[in-house]
Amino acid sequence: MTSSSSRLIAIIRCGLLRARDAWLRFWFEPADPLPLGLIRILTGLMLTYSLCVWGLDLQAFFGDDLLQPREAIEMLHEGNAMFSLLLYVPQEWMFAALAASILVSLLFTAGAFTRVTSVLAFLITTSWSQRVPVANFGLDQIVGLLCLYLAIGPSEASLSWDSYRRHKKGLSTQLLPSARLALRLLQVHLCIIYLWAGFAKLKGETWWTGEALWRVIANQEYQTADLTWMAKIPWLPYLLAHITIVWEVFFCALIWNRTLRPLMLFIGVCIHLGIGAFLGMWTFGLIMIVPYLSFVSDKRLRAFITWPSSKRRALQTEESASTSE
Amino acid sequence: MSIFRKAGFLLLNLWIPFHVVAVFLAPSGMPPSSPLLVNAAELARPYNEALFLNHGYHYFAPDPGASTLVEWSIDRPGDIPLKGRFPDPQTSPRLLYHRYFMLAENVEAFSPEARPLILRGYAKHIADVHKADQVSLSFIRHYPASMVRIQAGGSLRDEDSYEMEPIGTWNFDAPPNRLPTSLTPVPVEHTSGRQFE
Repeated sequence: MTSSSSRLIAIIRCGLLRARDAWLRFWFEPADPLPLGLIRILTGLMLTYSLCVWGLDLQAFFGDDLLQPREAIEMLHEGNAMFSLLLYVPQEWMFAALAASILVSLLFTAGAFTRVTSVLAFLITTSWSQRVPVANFGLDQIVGLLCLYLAIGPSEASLSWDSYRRHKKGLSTQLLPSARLALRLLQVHLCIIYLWAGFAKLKGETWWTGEALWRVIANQEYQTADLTWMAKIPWLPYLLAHITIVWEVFFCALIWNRTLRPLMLFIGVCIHLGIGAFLGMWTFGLIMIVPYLSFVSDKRLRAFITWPSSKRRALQTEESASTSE
Repeated sequence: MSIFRKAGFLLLNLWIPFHVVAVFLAPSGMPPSSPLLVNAAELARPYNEALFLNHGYHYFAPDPGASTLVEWSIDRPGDIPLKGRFPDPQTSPRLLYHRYFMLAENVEAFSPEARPLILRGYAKHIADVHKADQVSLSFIRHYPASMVRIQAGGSLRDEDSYEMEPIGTWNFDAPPNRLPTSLTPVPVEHTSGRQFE
């Protein structure tokens, strides 16, 4: 073997080893499970709320021959991998199924028996959504994927009844590779969502002409706050439409830049709070912000969560110092 | 590391790229799309469907357009017909309003075989609520007002921004508490919309 070929092999080997290390670091470098704990609580609360709202009109939506007839839904599920456990629940047991689902969702929120309740929460989300597919929208999609990654990751390792029982002390500081995996899957999935949301808008003419955002504002059925005053300053909806497109399409690249990350998250929070406040979709607007926690530094989150107790400790130290004086 | 743990870790490392690619492909088949992407999305479909990840993420895209409402009408002998629409702005909480809104917005995106059954379900629900034997349904398209219209003093509720498309009429002969299991909508002469038989 010539020296040049052995050098080439060494370079390739070195490159492969570096790629392997980068891969392992990206997906498995031990991470703080605290963001997962927070995401679990917020997702669980949203799932519970969504289930309670179903309860207000349970018979109409889940009745065998009413708004979402069982026969039609079975027809939609036929020949594909969609499933809903509710299709096996007799009509007279629907209220019991709802009560059980809410109970599991509350246990999941509290982080009790989380290894089991996280999987059940995912099955509950899927089953209730796929039983009434026509009534679904973005909220159900996002709750579904959050529950999936929370079932994969150690969402019980922080801010949970399970971890409290295990450690009998404050927040666990243990770093876990599985926490990194779940957070990365969530981050990558969010990037894919925004990329396709941006691409889909680029298929439409009105997102290029800037008129699209006005059309959303001028949609009576969505509107909860009158924004038609924007007709007097037309450049504003045009500008907002262009910002939305640029932000959505480039989110998947710019979010990984530490300097730009706060700006990307800030724009996202503004957009989603705007969707909540002006288009009346608070549930969707808020649940879209929840996965952002996977991008927030765990140190900042920890400082935020422990702020009240650290402040109390500082006050106690000050008090004891002044007493001894 | 035991051999089982090693095998498990290897499988996990194979699953990650598979999962990411599958999730990425889910929306790629949405039209307009190349046959290559349509076929790729089709390949990933069973996996995405099983995990409830088969979504298009086409929020307000490609072009935000008219919203769709469902108007119902119940004929009353010797009286004006009883009419209503869903979503009803009075519905509260807002999430429940949005569920009804999606019933009106999404129904046309579902398979033509299931659609008549779903529309019959809408009519049946209205018939049950109002204890009626016969219900007519129509789609109402509500077009967003243009900027020029608003600048000229128009409003989002101007009458000409609504367009009606009759769907059909369903007859439920039995009293609400003793409905037959099989309901056949009976086309009524004055209806110009589609009729389901």
